[in-house]
Amino acid sequence: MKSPPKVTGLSPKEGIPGCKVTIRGENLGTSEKDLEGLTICGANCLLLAQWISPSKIVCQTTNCKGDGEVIVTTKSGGRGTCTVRFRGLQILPNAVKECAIWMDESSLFGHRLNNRTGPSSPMASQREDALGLKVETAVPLSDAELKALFPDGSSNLALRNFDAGRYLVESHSSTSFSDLKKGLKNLRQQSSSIKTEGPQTFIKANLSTFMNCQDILASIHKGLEVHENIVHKDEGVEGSTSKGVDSLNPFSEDMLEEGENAEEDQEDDGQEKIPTLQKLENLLIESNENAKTIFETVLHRKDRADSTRNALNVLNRFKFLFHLPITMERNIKKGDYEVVINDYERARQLFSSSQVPAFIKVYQDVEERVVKFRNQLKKKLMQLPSSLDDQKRLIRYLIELNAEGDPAWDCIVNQQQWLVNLLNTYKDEHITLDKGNVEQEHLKIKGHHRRQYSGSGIQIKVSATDASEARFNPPQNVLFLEELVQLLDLSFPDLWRLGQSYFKASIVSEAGGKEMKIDRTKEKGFKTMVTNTIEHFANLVRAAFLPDTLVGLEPSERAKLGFWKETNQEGSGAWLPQCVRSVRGILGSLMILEVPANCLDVLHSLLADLRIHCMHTLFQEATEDIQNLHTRETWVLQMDEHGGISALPALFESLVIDTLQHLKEVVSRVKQGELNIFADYDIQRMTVELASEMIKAFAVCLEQLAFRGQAEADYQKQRLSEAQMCIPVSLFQSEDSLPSNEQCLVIVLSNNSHVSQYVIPNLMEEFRKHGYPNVQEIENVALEAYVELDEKIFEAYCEQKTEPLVCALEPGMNMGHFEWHNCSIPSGVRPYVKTALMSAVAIHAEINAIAPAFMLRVMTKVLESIAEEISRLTSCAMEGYSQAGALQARLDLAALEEALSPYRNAGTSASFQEALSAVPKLMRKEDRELLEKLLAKFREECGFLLQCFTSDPSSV
Amino acid sequence: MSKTKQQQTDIHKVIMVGSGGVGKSALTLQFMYDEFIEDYEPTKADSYRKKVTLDGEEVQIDILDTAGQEDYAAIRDNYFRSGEGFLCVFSITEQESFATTTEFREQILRVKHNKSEDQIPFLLVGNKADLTDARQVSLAEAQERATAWGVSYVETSAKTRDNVDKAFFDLMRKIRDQKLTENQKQNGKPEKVKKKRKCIIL
Repeated sequence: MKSPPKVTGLSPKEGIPGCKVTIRGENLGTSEKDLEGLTICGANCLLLAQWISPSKIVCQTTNCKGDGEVIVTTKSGGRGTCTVRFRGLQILPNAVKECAIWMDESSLFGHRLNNRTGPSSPMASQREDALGLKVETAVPLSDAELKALFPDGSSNLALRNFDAGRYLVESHSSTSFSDLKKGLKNLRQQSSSIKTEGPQTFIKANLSTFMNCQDILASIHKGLEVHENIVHKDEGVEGSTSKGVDSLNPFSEDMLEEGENAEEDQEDDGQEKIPTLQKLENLLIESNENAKTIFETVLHRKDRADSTRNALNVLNRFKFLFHLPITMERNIKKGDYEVVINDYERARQLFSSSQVPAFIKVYQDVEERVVKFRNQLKKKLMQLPSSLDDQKRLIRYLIELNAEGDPAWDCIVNQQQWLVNLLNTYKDEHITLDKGNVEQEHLKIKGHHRRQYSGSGIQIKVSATDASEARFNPPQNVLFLEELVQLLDLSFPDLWRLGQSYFKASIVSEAGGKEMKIDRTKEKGFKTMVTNTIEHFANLVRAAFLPDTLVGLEPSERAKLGFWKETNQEGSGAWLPQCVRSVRGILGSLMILEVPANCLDVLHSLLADLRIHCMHTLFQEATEDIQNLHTRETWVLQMDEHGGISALPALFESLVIDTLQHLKEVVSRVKQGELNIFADYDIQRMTVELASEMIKAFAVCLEQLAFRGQAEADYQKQRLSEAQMCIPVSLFQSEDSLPSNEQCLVIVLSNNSHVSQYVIPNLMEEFRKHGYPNVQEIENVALEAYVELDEKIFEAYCEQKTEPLVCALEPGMNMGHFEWHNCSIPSGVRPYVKTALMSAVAIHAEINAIAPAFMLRVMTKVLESIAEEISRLTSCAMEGYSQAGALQARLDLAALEEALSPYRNAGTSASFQEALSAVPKLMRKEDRELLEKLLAKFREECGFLLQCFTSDPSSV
Repeated sequence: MSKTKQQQTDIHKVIMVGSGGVGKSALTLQFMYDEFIEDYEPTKADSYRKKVTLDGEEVQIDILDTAGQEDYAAIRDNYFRSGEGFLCVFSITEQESFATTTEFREQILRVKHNKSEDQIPFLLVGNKADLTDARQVSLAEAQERATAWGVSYVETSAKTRDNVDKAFFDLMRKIRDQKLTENQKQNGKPEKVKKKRKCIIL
């Protein structure tokens, strides 16, 4: 075992508890673990020890008191020794002094707490320094040392053996000289003041003792009184009672010693048999009065201090309330409404029924502010547009603030009003804009009118009013509708949801607020409001688009909806589907909101009307367009297997199909809950009428083309040539001349048949596909028209074509004074037949060029006419036929019949038969032979010419 | 009071005085534990005691290392009172510390007013002798003062341990001699003169 530890040095050697001490010595342990124990002045400090080296330990002292050794114990060396001593200084704590250890305060403050037990000297307050200086906390010398220095002195000022030196050493050993001088001055002042105020100070210092005295005296007095009653009967006890008055001394305020004297005096008095009780009573009263005079000011001050303290207390305790007005204002400014509401709620619960005037006053202030706040919130709530969440929050605040009335309902009503007003504003704006547009149309003012409804987020850019742009810009009423729909789409859901949550009472309960009373009766009102709003919207739209449907309204009501000028209707067709889409959109979004059906009915019917209107307008526009198609005829033929047609049928077809496409979603797509517009019989009829009208329009157009007057034709010619000038030649068909009237007729005829054969069935298919009713009817009506037209044109054409041919027959027949009864033996077919045939060939060629499909029909007709004429002519031969004439006639007839045989029909044959019957029969054989011969010659001569008839008409 | 056997050996109570930072603690620690502390930490009041052999006789040296700072000036009186010998240290690199030695001397004499000047073992020590480059107080100057006071002067270096032992041992010898003369006096005049307490204030 190593040698025991030995402490030989301490730095510092004394210190207050908690100070750091460096312990030096020998064998202070080989390692930190080796260190087993460390006591300083007997107090264990191992916990706070820090082993540095075998010769050094750093440690913090604990509650080390007095003079003592520092003992280090190690495992290796055991308990050690110490050559130096540590002195634990005591700190004399006061209330504000920090202290590292737990002090036993009873010894320090005990004398104060037990103040009442005995009289204390005027200088008794130990803790207060006699010199009026700061008390030192550390006592530099140990008690033993002090005792050695001052064997019979004491530092207690109250003791007889008080030693000033010891007191100073103990309390002011480290005070500087100048401070001490100051202390002396203090002391002098104090002593002089003690002299002047001595007695009073004394009383004040020993008040409890005096009180005790007084109490005792009072009880004695009481006892005496009881006793007196007895004494009245037996007066012998008086002497003994006087003893009890011993300590009774009215002037005891002066000095105890004096009191002692007085005691003696009184004893004498008692012997003088003055009625003791009376005296005692007087004395007590007197002392009370004295006490009062002495302490009046003090007590008064105390009272005031108490009341001040009370007030402060109250202020402090209820500072929440007193600060509330300012806090509220601040929070309102900051926007911390929740906090304000919570505060107010708390204040209301705590103070609303308070009787304390101060509270009432402040609370009133609070109430006033709350009212202001409420109004502010209300104003804010009424400010639109605002988001639903904001509104809900504001409503919740208002309800939590116990706002009178029904803020949510007010908000709903307000919002509805706002919405309606906004709708009206839009209407007015658009109507004025609309009117403005007309005026500005010629001024060509190009302006961009930009409106911004920032709040509701509606931002529509309206750039219009340039006449040249006008047709690319939507008409004003369409813009109007768009805006209305947008507004409704944005704002109505909020209104509806607000209403819903109002009736579900979820505005407040969502946030865990208190119950909100709901007026169920208002539900109906809300529904009416919603319906009214939607109805208003519908009516506004109607006013813009379907003014006719509003005729039933009262004039005043009607006037509110505004009047749109009718002129704008043209060209709006293209925009109408868009409108329908918008309305449909709003309807859809309202349906999602589960708005009651009766509200939606209004919209449904509006939508249906709009759709019908749209269809109507579009069909009408298409009809007009189709009717105007004839201006676009270029007479450029396109050949296909059915013959030639111009561009018109295709244009017509595409127009119709475009229209149908446009109408497609309007008419056919019936969404859930939408009315089927074709369900109504009237609508069906109207549709059929419109559709057939549209289809028929082309017939009209064709007819116009076919039978246009010369002037028109000239105009067209001019237009086309103009177009030719404008459009590069390469783009225009090279045919520089317009076809002749006849050719036009054929073209129209061909177009007509093409339309009725191919286009109309196609279109009908389209109609069917889009769900139009009674397509067959439309087709029938339309085809009727075409057939009629076909007849008409055909007649006209044939007439035009055959007439010259037929008319030429008679003169040709009689040419050269030819007479059937007087003619030479024919040498061949007569020229008139050939001329007729040539004409027929010309017709054939024309037809073949334009519409081979009509060949048979036309040629048959031509042949029929020829045959008829021939038969008429032959039967009209007045003078009869000579032999040669008969031969000639038969030859001619045979040639004609043969040449045109492919186009023969019953009528033709009959005519020829009739004609032949009028001609005398050929009796002679040589005549018959000659006929055959001549016929063969004719075949030979004209075979090539006639080939066109014999060949298949459609094979060309 | 402690009743240890240390009573048998003589205890010489040495007090280190001098202004702050001159090396009192360094000298003490060098003497006590042969270590030199580089970092400076103001002392309050440290106590060291160990056995040494003085001229073949085992004695204990009790060193009270006091605070040089002016803050603690007021409590010095108490310490001085208990001291038997004084090492008045200054730094040869600091003129001011040399000047302050006068004040310390005066304070000691005041506290030990019951003794005459020559009865108080006192040694003037010029420390930091290794820092010759920074010397401000000349040897002559110091010796002159020592002579004036009737004490001896020694220059030490706590860092190099130059003259450290010498300073302490010289002082201890003086204490021992002083004690011997006092004992002789006491033996001569057996009556113990109890000094009257007097208020030292004012």
